[in-house]
Amino acid sequence: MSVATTAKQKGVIRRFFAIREIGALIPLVIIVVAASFSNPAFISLANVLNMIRATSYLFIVGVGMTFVLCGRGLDLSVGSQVGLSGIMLGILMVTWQLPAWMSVIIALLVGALTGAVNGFLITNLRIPPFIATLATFYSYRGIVMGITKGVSIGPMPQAFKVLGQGTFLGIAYVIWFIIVLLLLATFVLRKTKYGRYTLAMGGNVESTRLAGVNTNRLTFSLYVVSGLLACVTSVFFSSRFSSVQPSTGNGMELQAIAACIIGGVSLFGGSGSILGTLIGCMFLTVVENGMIMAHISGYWQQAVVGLIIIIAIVIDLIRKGDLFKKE
Amino acid sequence: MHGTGRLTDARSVFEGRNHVVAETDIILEGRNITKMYGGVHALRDVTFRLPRNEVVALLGDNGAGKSTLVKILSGAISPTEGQILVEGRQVELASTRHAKELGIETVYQDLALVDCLSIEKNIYLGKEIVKRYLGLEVLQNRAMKKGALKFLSDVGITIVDPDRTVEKLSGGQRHAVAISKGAFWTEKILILDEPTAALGVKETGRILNMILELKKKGLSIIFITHNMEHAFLVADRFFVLRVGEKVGERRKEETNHEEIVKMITGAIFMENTRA
Repeated sequence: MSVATTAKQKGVIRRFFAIREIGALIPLVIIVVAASFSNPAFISLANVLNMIRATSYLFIVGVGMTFVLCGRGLDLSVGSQVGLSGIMLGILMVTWQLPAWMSVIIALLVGALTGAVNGFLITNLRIPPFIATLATFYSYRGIVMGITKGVSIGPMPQAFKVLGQGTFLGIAYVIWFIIVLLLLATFVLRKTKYGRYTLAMGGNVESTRLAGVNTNRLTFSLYVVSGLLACVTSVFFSSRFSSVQPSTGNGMELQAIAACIIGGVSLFGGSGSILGTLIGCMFLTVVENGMIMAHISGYWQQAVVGLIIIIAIVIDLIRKGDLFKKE
Repeated sequence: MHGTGRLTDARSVFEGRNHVVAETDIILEGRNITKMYGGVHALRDVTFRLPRNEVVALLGDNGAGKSTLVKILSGAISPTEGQILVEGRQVELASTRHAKELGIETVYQDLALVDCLSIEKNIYLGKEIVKRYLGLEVLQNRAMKKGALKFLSDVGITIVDPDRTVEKLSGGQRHAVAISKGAFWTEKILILDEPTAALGVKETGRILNMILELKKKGLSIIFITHNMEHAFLVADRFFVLRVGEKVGERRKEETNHEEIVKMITGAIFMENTRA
């Protein structure tokens, strides 16, 4: 084979991998195909809708995480915030008997507040994001445990459950929500100054600051958004069931980070896509669901996820041309 | 009085002796600038003039005070004593933002680029083109890309792949983008801090060419350099500092390499130049 043709082949391979979200899409397609073969019920409409719904909750948190990561931040506390918001909703509606709509608004404000605490720790006290959100990860979950003593709160009022159990044109409300969220978040990231400055700040804080952007205010806002979206997830999730659990959201932060990485978001800031995060979330859902359908032991699930993260990163390195580069 | 750099304005001779035609039009001036840090003089009574549409090379050894002078002229720090005049009017530069509003753009050695963003995103950072739809500002990415690439090609820089992020560009192209970040936004004054530092021969040539093209566009340019060759290739004037004081100023036609080196190293002592 002549040098010219191998070079051309490498060029085609490189162009194929240049599509931004390819690193996430390929493993996803592989898994979907593999799962469908081992159990045709996998791609039944009912199961697909089920999987999309399960993805939705993680995706809402994932959007917040995407923005935070793009700004070179990290929010380890989102899972705990989901749990805390859920318990808040329970207390507001069950213990204090407030109407559902009022409880949701109050809970959202609290969500913004818990996010703002992160923002304050990071921008005002200058605590590194990893440490600050690790502290709130423990604190918020601790508050949840302290208040509930491990006991769930219920029953939730019917008016509230309509949100989680209702459908529009046969599709759950939360799925409609994430379609809107996908479009909105992508627009913000690519077409607004907010998104642009977030990416710029993630790439180089000093250069962005010199260009006149208030990077402190921007960083603060990213954590408020992350907290708010965690609360939104909690609203949708809690409204599906008759009670709220103190363990809700456990581990969600790591799943969200994994979904972002699989979706191509850079852990070092400056690059990422909302669609990529969605694919990453779908991926995690498909692995869990597919393995169940294929009767593979659920114990292996985490190992599979770990393997996939590595594959996604390798594909990303190929995409950037870094893997086959000679030093 | 006949100016040596310009033909005498015939009309002025007619209209009266009070109309003195300046030898050249000074667009930026730092007059009697002194900067002290504690008891140490970083600059002592330095008067620097940038004539309109000229390229002035600011030369001097390490510690001569070049960076300090540039920081003062760009609004980053204020002088202990002295005035700054822009187009003949005295101004108080409160900040770099204020300086930019007056048309003074500065490009520092670290380039201030965001590596993971593309060229036009870097050039327009902080000053994006937007369209308002019902109060919402939407970025006009295509217009920005077009504007940025047109500017670069106007000054002689070709970019093969405009979608590439800045980190993937060659050293010379990165410098070109960094210089564009400043030059794009002013029609008046551009200050460059070591624009050819660490560049290879070919890339240096492109940057020097870019500086000449920017001069053709009407900009007045100050550039700090250590490299005599580069200075002689593009500058109209040389301004030499030594340990915080002005050694002297020469027009290119009236001097040579040797004299400038002697001024930098101190072999030629401070001249008694009048401010």
